[in-house]
Amino acid sequence: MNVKQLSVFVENKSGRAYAIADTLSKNDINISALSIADTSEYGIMRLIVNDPEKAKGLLQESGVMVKITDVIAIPMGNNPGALTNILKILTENDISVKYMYAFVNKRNDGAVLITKTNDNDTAVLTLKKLGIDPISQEELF
Amino acid sequence: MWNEKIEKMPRENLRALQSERLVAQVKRMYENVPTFKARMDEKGLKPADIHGVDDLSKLPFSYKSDLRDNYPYGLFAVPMSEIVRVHASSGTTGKQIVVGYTENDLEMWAECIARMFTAIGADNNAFIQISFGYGLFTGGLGAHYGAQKIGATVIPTSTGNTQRQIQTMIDFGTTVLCSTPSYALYLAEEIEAMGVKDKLKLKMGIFGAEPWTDDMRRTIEEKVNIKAYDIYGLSEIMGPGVACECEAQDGMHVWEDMFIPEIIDPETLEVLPEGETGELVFTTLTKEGFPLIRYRTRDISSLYFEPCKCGRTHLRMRKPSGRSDDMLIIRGVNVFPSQIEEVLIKVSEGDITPNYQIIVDRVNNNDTLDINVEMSESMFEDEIESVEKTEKKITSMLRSTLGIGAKVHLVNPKSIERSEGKAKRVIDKRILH
Ligand SMILES: [Zn+2]
Repeated sequence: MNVKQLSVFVENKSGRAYAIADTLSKNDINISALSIADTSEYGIMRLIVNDPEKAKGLLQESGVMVKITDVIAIPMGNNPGALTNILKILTENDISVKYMYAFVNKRNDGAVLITKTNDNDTAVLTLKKLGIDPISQEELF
Repeated sequence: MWNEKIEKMPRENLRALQSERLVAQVKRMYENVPTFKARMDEKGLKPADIHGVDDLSKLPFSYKSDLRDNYPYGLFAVPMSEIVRVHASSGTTGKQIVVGYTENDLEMWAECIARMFTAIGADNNAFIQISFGYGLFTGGLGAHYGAQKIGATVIPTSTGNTQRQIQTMIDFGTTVLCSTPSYALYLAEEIEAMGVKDKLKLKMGIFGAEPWTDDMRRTIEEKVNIKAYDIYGLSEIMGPGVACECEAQDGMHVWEDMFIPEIIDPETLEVLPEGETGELVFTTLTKEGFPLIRYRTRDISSLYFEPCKCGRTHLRMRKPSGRSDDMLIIRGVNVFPSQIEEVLIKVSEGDITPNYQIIVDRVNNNDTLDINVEMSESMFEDEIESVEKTEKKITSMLRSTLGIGAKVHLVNPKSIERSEGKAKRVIDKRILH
């Protein structure tokens, strides 16, 4: 049960991130979560949006390199220890986290942890076994 | 073989023949071509100083600009009454150039082409369709007379009207196709789309007159199931057929009884030894109308003297890999954009060749080389680590190919500026300083 993330290549030039956000907002794409990994030369912007396929098309058209990546959205209580609990489960099951970021989601009334692991399928199964049901693409919006 | 005595002539005999012809030509040109005489006089050279091929490197170079400066007939070595044909090429830089041929020049040209057709296995039973342009361009008529010389059935379709070209191939039973490689590729795609591959008798093709890659060769060969052979030539030296491949497909034989090729370092102008890459220079040996000594082609290639599987003794040249006028000298090393392109083709693995831009600058008296590469799908992932891996891979392949370090920057697709649809490949900021 994976969620589709937009992974966008952003050159470190002024106005690049703005141009991307502008393209999406003008076309009614809502950004729910965002994180950026960067070097001195470029960054990779990771976005959770309501319509990833449409957003991909729009950005490609505007000359931006973009890919859709499968990630897991894990519901998390909005309280101390919630993140620790999830990371503990993943660590104990030898699943390594490639990257993660979190946001607060109205519908789930709590936080959502977005993560990509070395083995998303095993991660989902493991979490489910312990009663944590990852959120589907539809449930997010 | 078309002319076994010449084509298998022992190398020392070939050299003796070249020496004899070179001495005679230098004398003839000194007497009849004022530009050549002036260059010899500048160097304090007299025809008597040239005793053979060993003295070749003493002789002055000639250039494309000589043809423009002496436009149209100023470099011809015979009266116009002896010139029976002219050809012209426009080139990419403005004014056209004109070349002239005597009866014997056309005869020798047909001889080159006849050797070529025979070398790839065509004979008087062949149906040779010539889809090179007929006219001032040397391709069409050049191939035509050679095909006729071997007694083949010549089908002079010239260029254009693709549907009719293909119908002709089917109806007339074409076995050999001559064209530019890009047109051959286009024809191959059309043949595939029309689903008429099985109706063709085509066995081979001779493609030249523009640069093409081994990838293109394989694509053409696979699409229409033929052998695709490479041919080299330039109007200034004669036209197509100065060199061509044999069935071994391992370099192009240069007909050394008619031409002497050399490879020089375009910077130092020194002649380079066998196998080294540099600029190709040609001296004609039998041309009467428009002979040339040490003509700088600007094509980058290398020469090999070892005997060929086919038994011919004439040396082979590698397919030109670029133009010396595009060459950059960075930290004292010669760098060709084509070398960079080759690395990027390898890295992109089947994806389209990425667009790139080379930026050369000088910082604190040190040359810097930066290469912007437009990312293709296969180069981008959602993790910094994998993008860095791609950058490092390109960087290390460039280092081993170029011999110097380059800084690689991956950039967004279509972000490199283009003028008239073509990306500007090289920005040399050092010129501005
Ligand atoms: Zn051979």
